[in-house]
Amino acid sequence: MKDLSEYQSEMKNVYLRPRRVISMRKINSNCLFPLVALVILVYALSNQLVDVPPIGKFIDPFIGVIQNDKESYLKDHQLEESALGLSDSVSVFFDQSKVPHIYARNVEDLFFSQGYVTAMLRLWQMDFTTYVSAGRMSEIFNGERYLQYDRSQRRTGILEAARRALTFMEKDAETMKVLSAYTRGVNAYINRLNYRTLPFEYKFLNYQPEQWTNLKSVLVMKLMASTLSGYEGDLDMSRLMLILGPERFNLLYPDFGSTVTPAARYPKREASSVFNKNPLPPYLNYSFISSISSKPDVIFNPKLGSNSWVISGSKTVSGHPILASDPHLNLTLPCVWLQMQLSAPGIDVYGVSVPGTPAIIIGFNKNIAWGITNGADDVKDWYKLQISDDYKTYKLDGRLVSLDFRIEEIMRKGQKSFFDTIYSSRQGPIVYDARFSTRPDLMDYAMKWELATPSNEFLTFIHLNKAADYRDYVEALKYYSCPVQNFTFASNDGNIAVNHQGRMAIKYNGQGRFILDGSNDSLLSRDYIPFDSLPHQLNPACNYVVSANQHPTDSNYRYYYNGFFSEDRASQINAILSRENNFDIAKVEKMQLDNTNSFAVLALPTLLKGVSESKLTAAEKDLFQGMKKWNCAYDYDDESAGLFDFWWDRIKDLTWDELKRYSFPLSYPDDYVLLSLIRTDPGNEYFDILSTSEKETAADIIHESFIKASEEYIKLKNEKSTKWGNLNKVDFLHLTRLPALSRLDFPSAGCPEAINAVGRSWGPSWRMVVQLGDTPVAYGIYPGGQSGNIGSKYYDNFINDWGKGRYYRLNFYPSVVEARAGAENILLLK
Amino acid sequence: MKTRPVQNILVIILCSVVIISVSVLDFLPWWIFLVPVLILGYGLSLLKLKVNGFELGFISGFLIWFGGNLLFDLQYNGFTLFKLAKLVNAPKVLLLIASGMIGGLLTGLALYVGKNIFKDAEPPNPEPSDLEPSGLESVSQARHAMHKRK
Repeated sequence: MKDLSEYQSEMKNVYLRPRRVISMRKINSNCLFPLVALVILVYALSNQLVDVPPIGKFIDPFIGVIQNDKESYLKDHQLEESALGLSDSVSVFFDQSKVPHIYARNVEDLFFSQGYVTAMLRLWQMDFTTYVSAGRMSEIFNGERYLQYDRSQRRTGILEAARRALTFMEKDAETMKVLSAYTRGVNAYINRLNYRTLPFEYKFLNYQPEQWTNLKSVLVMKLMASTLSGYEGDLDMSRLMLILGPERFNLLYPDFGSTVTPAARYPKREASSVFNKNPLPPYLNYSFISSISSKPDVIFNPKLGSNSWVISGSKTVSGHPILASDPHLNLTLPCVWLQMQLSAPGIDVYGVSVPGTPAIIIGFNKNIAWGITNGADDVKDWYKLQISDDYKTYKLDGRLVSLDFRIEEIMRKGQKSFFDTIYSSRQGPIVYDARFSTRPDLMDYAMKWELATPSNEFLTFIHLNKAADYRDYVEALKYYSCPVQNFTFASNDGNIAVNHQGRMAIKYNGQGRFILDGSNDSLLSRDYIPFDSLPHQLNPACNYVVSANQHPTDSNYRYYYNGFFSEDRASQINAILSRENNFDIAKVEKMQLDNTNSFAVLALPTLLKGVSESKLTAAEKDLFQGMKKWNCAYDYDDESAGLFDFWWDRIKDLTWDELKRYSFPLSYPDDYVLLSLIRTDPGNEYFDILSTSEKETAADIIHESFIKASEEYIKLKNEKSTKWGNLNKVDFLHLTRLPALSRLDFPSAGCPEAINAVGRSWGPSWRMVVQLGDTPVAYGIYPGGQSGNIGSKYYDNFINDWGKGRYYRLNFYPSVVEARAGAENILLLK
Repeated sequence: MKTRPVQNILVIILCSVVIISVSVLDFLPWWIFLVPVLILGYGLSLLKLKVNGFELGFISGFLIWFGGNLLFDLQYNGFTLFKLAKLVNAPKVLLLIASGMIGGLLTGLALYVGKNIFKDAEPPNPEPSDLEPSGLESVSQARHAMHKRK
């Protein structure tokens, strides 16, 4: 036994409350791998992997793409957004087509709300359009071809043109008030977005919307201008002029064909016409022009045009004028247009707007209606420059002038920026040089494009929206420069008018059709046709006006101009309007849907005579009988339209085989020229087929073509139905061209030559018929939907009805009361 | 002690509620729901529940992600997933399953890690070198230990 102290200390040890061992808990090493795996997974799913967007966010059910299906602002009966920066409250009433009717208490709030609502419906579309316009594809997509596209856009100068136009517009207080309000409205919407509410395309392409600026609005406008005025054929026409010589060139490619139904007629002048045969330009010879040929790197479609006509009250049932307008543009999803009504003190207008720009572009108010068609003038010219070896100067009238240059930064996704140096002369930018030589035959040429001259088109539309009569309309047009467009007009006080409006240079005979000598300063036109002298017509005796991309004047007009005009539709519209009366809305709608190819009407009798029926086989005779009975309409169920296309295409191919020998891509002479040749000179050398030893005539070609066409057609009949609707398929392409987001192979009636002008991916992007009166009555439709959200049922809900030729009543509400009553859902902006 | 299936279901429900309540706060980063799941896992370890963290976490995550996408697809128009499926050339069902797999995998890992990150504290062996005496049940044991030491 120990002593007491020992015993006590041991008992202490025993009885002491034991301390819990907590602090030394070890981290379970088995958990380290899962933890690291978790972290890596989260990281990988939050970032872009190769071409795939961050998947974690993307398919998260709370914020991912599934949320794009939800569209509360088009469903919730009443929605309110406050603290936006408006000076007063604004009510937006959506009707059953989801057309917003915006009622504001002052003009600034109105355009702010237009920006806000447009962004709500179409943000990605308008934003993406500015990237396309400015040449910023490389910021969104990876790939060399996007860089090429961007360089081409920058060198062509669209972004530069937009910058200059904005500087010009900044001088006008009214424009800036409207534009800035619109920009603020768009940004008010953008600033409310988070990943969940982002449009699908941003999630899929993994980028964010940037802040909207006034420049972006101008870029949207400039892209439209570029699409409508970008087409040119200077190089090819020059080559043809050299190869064919002036005599034959003017025979095949005249400024005025035999069939012209101009928008405005002029009395015959005492002086000789300015529209004589184009002479061979003195500087043009084989050493002037390059022997290499290239294809354009941006394709412009000369057919993007439109129809518009106005019938005065004396030919209508109601006694009030009726205006019809159907612009023909690329059929995209979302649609190029967005319908809305804008109402504030001093302005109350309904129509279609272009997402990204303020005001209504085509529409009507209670006093007037207006429509727009493409002027189709040639406003783009190429000037060959004599540049010094050090690329610092060029020769102009014997002197050496310094070349200007600017540097454009092209930002690229995930890479460092590309810097492009763009030189320019007095005429314009040098698009193709040693460092960007996709078109070697245009190397060191300066490009003059009217689009680059600063102007303020916004003001035209702001004023048109408020216009009350013809005088207001004319005043509004004074601001309009590019692209040259035809405006049609009707007012309640009984005026109807058509104006070919824009900046048209005063040209000498043939100027603009061929490449030009950049070392000769006199070839750069600096004067423009004065406003009052531009082609126009007011209240003509026939009581209607027609504009369908045809020649704006006859050859009596005192100024020379050239362009890419189509006569067929104008001819047909004119024929109907001149022979008929008692027009009402339904009759005008039927006109817009008219599938008759008026060229075919003209050509068919001649062509039928060219075929020797006795030499046909039984099957061919069958088809020929069908052709004889054909009414030349490209209707949905028509069985002969396809055959006619094959036939006429063959005739063209066989006739112009001489031209096909040339190594450069060219456009055939106009259809009317060929028809005229067949009728007046059937023994012409062009009808001789080169590959055969016999000498053919027009009749031989016609007959031969019919046989070949029938053969093709019969083969086609065995594969599928040859109903025209089945052969004529239309594509509505999403702006990214991704098939999954587009609507492809939509069967449709119509053809490019008919009033119902439909092509593979272009056509009537808006059909509108307005009858003025105490209250305007209007019908319209476009192939698309009001929402740009791919998850929305309003993305493409109009397309089927558009295809069937149906029209919706346009709700032009006289006041807030009716708008509220007609609203399916309401948005209150504060 | 409760039977295991009920425990499992309760954990799944709890986990799901945790995920949903955090995920609806759409201004937070998408993965933030994993943090409360981790904490939940740790909570489960404190409660000494003998459940498989990964399994239950996976099931909750799968249900929420697959189910959430499916629910919204049916409730709204169903166009977005339909078009996405066309875009990536995969059937819609596969997209739903893929989302479920991702949600499940992440939640499962998080719940597992949360539950198992700290090793359970086992009673340490009574060693003389230990300054603290071990916990003893009774005085008799104490006497016994004392005698042992002698």
